[in-house]
Amino acid sequence: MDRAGRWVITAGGIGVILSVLGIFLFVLMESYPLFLKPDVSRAHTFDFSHREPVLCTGVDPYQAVMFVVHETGIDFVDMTTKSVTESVSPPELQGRRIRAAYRALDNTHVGLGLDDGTMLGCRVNFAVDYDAEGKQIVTPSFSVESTMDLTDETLEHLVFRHDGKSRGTVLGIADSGQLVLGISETQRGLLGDGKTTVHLYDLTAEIKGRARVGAVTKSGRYVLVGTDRGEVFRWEVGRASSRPKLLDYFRISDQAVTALDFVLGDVSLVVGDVGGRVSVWMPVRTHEGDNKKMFKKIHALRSHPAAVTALASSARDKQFLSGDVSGVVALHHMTSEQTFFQLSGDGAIQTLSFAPKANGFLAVSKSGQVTDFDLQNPHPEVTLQTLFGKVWYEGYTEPQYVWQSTGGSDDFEPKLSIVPLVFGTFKGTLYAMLFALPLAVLAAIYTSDFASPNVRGVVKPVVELMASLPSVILGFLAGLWLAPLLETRIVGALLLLPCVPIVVVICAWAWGQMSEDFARRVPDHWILTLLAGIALFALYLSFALGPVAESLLFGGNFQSWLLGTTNTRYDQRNCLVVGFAMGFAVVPIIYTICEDALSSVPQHLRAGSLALGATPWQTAIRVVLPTASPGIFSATMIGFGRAVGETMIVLMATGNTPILDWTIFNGMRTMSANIAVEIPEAPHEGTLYRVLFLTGVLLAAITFLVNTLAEVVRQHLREKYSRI
Amino acid sequence: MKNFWKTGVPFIWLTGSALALCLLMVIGLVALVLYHGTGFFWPSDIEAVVLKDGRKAMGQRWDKQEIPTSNRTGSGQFRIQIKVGNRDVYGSDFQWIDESDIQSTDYPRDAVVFERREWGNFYGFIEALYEGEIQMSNTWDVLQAQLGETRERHEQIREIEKDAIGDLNRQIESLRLKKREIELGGGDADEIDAIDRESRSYWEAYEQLADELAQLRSANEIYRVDVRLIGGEVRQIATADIVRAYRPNQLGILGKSGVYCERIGEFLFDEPRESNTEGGIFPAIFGTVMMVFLMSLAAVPFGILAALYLREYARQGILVRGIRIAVNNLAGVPSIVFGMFGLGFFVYGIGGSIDQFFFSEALPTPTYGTGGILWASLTLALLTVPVMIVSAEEALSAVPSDVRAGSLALGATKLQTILRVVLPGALPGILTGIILVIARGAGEVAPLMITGVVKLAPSLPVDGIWPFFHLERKFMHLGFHIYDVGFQSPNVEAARPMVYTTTLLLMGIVLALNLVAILVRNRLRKRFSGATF
Repeated sequence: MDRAGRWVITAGGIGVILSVLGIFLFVLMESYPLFLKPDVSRAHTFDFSHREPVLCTGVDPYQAVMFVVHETGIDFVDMTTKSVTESVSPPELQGRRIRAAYRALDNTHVGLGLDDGTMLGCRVNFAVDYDAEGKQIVTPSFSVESTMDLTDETLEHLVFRHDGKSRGTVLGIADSGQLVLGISETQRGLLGDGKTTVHLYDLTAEIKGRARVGAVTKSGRYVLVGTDRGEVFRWEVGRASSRPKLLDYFRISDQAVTALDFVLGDVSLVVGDVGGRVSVWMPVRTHEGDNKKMFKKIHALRSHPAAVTALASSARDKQFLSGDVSGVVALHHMTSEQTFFQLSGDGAIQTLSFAPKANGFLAVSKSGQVTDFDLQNPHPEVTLQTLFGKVWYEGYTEPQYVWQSTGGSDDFEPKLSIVPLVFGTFKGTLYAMLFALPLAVLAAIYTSDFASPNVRGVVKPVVELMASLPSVILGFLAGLWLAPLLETRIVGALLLLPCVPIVVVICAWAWGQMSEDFARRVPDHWILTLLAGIALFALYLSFALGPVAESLLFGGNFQSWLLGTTNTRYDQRNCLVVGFAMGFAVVPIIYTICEDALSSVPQHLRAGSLALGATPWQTAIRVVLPTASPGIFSATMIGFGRAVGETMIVLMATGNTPILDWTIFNGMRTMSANIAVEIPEAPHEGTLYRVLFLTGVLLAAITFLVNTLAEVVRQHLREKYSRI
Repeated sequence: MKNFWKTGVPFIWLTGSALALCLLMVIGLVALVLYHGTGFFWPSDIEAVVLKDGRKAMGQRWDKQEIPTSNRTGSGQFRIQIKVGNRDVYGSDFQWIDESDIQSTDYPRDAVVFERREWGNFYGFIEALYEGEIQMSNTWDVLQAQLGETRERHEQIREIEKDAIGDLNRQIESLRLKKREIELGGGDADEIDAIDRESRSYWEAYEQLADELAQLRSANEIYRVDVRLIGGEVRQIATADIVRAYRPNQLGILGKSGVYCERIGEFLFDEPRESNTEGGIFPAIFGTVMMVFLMSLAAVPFGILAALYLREYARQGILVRGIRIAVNNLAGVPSIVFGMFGLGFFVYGIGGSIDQFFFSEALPTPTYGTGGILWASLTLALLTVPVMIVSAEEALSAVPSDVRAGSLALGATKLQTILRVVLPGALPGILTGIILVIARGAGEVAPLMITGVVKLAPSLPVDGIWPFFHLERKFMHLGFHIYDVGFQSPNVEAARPMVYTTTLLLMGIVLALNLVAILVRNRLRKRFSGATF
């Protein structure tokens, strides 16, 4: 029986303690996969050497069916049985040979360039259905939708983008270096297909050197061409009927540009050259406020050992693949500037293509080997650098710390810099401590050294009661009562800082002028009531003086004065409000611990000091306070820990904008409020979810460290007291 | 003057004023909440205001303030805010009127406040009462009688809608799930047929109930009241849409107190109306209580167990000291971190697995794989277990060791000593700990927000349907109610008094619990300080 009891209690006790400590481990484990290396493996190699050269490949979103474009048509391959299920040679070919092919990022539009300079605009479709047993069946289909006679020569390179509505844009480079842009526009009629008009523009004369590769945005608005002299030319296309305008050109390197592609979003441009260098270029505003944008090299990625021959962007995020003449395939992420791996292959890479869900890719060698790779890289955009360092995002003029986890469009890139959140946390904590620390420490000194035991017996429980107020109540009052109130009385609130001490000191002086007999006869608790009255009077005085001071000093309106002179906008829910509300929550904690430390300073120290002729104040400040200073430090730490983790108050009393600005008159977003706001919407095990867990780890680590420090200091203090 | 500074008196006064400020803040906060929280249910008089341009407005006084000017020196002019109600007619509930525009104000004795189920209050004068096409004698008593009758029917309708039809819906839904389960498992045509037949019979029963409902509704619709607005316009309201009607200007203190109590009763025991801005908060009170109960059920025994281990069984040394510090500090880890853990571990981890094994037919709709009262309670239990451990340990260590030694010397085993001597001695201290745990749990909101609290739960976690306790259900909570109605409600202005009242309630509960804990503790300290030496 006794043994069973011992066993149950020991097991239960250890179990509880372990499981509570296990929380940390779990939170840590949830964020750990952010930093895992990608998992890549070769799934299968399909031999298409009899079809050499393979011009282009692609796969459906479920990776069930692959299509392979070769000289005489297109083959569909079942990825599970690894066999060709269908070979299509479209009748529109009429015996001509396919010499160039292009698969757009949408995975449906495919362009075929023929040996007589004709372009066939095709559509590949994957119909998904379920059979009787609920198994998924993917049925591919292929159709030629349009033809365009670009030139009379053999096409060597082709780009074909369709905006999904009416405009198709084709960029063709012929054997001879002739550069042709074709734009087809379909006027949708009320009935039937409507009329399609085609406009051809020969751009060969507009560039220096010979065109090698091209890239076109989905809308067809921008056309870019890389040359053998290492330059990229840029055109802007307006209406289909008017000639494209050459905007500018920029030098990539002194070697020929051999690969060019847009990263998802059609803003950033990946460029590969003969020397094997891979870099990302972005249009950046030349001057602040100026609308003119110039292409600038933003990211440089790890170079290939040989000339880059193929690029492929992911349709999910800002990852892209690059392949070279020596057969090396590399995976990069643009924004985080990472090159995850370089795989060496069998022979020169002809073309690459990403699976639509970015969970695999196909690499095609010049000799006709099509290799299917499996890829697991769920969090490519996160590195320590992107979390804690400045990152140059698309559309920004310089690298910055940005937190913006969700956006409006599909190709929005989450910007997950923790820095603004850490900053906001410390900003809020700082203002709360500025408010709470002096108040609490002074109050504790009075309670321990100058108040009578009776007063102390009442005051302490009341302040402890204050500690138990739910923070949601403080947040609610701060956000809906205090914030609107302060907006019109801000100067009065600022006046409190000088007003209260001045009034109190004057009153103390006046009190000293009264007869000592009278002063001594006043009971102790009346003094506190009197002080409360004085404080109330000071409060009233400063708010009454507020409007006067505002019209004298700030021209009648503090907010517009603030905006005019310091260019700071006044937010209704600002740090003043948060500092006050959070200070309110922290004061009792600091007060209680401080008071305990001060009042447990051994009495003989006080008695000795007083006996040597020191005044009570001198005793308190020179003897008691220094002795108890470790206790005050530990109180500060614990208060700090509480303020760092406070959620509801910040959530309700600030605007929750993640900004980097120390000003007291605007808000911030703290880590804790950020978790509360974003985690309900964050997909389970997604990047945002894990990054939020990482901030949770950070939060827990900070508070745990601070509290442990405080606890250790406190224990030392206890030992010290017992020695004195 | 120099002497004055030297005595240190001004500094002492400064420290004293800091303490006074702290106390003022506490008292001021309580007073503010009391002031705003208690007044809302008082039926204030209806003012009818005639403006200088001839327009009229009638309603209850809401606010009065100085008209703001661009430079804050004050204009000396005041304006009043009147709750004119009649949102369906005027478009908004409130109207600001400059005092200088007012020609005259009076308090018409016949003015009536109608509290409606939808669209908020209606202010006006009764013009005529109807039962079907027949005009009734125009008396207050007739209206009250009609109100009573329609209220009864309304209750019946609610009962049918909620209990009978809800029951049928559940049956049909469970049949649907059963059918799906059979289909997933290969499918037996006979069984499916049987299920289809059964569900058809439920549908028939449903149609019967729907008929009954329609009859009740049409029976209620025949009572109508014509109400004249202050502007002269006449509107007709179905009596069934009125919760309560009273004439504040005719009521004395006693009558007003009656209405006041009735409204407080409604607040405490009724369900919310108008997306939480009116009606009661019973589901929130219930949810809070139940959540706290579940939480204590998990936190208290385990907390005591851990404390017993640390204090009575573990070998005191550097390791236990480290553990003690760690547990102590866990109480200071931000609550939102516990919330995250609850979401990741309980909801997605355990809940997701339970769904996969036991509720696969309902997928992809999660049963336990989404926030619910069980997960929220367990999360809060983890959050409060350190508090429990620390206070239980304190209580255990306060039991003098000679008592233990005495018990052991008399031949009791260690377990007997603990159960019969140590625990009873520490019981008051442990009770204090329990109260502190409850108070902490009742006031915590952030972790609940991500583990199962909702703004409006369709049903309580406990009801008459087997298995009676529905721990997977989402629930409402007083603290979250404050956050949600105060910050996310479409009509914050009208909802604010309601939030103050909820705040008052929550504050009252938490402060009362803490007060009890503090009192118990103080009494204990005295007892032990007397007993040990």
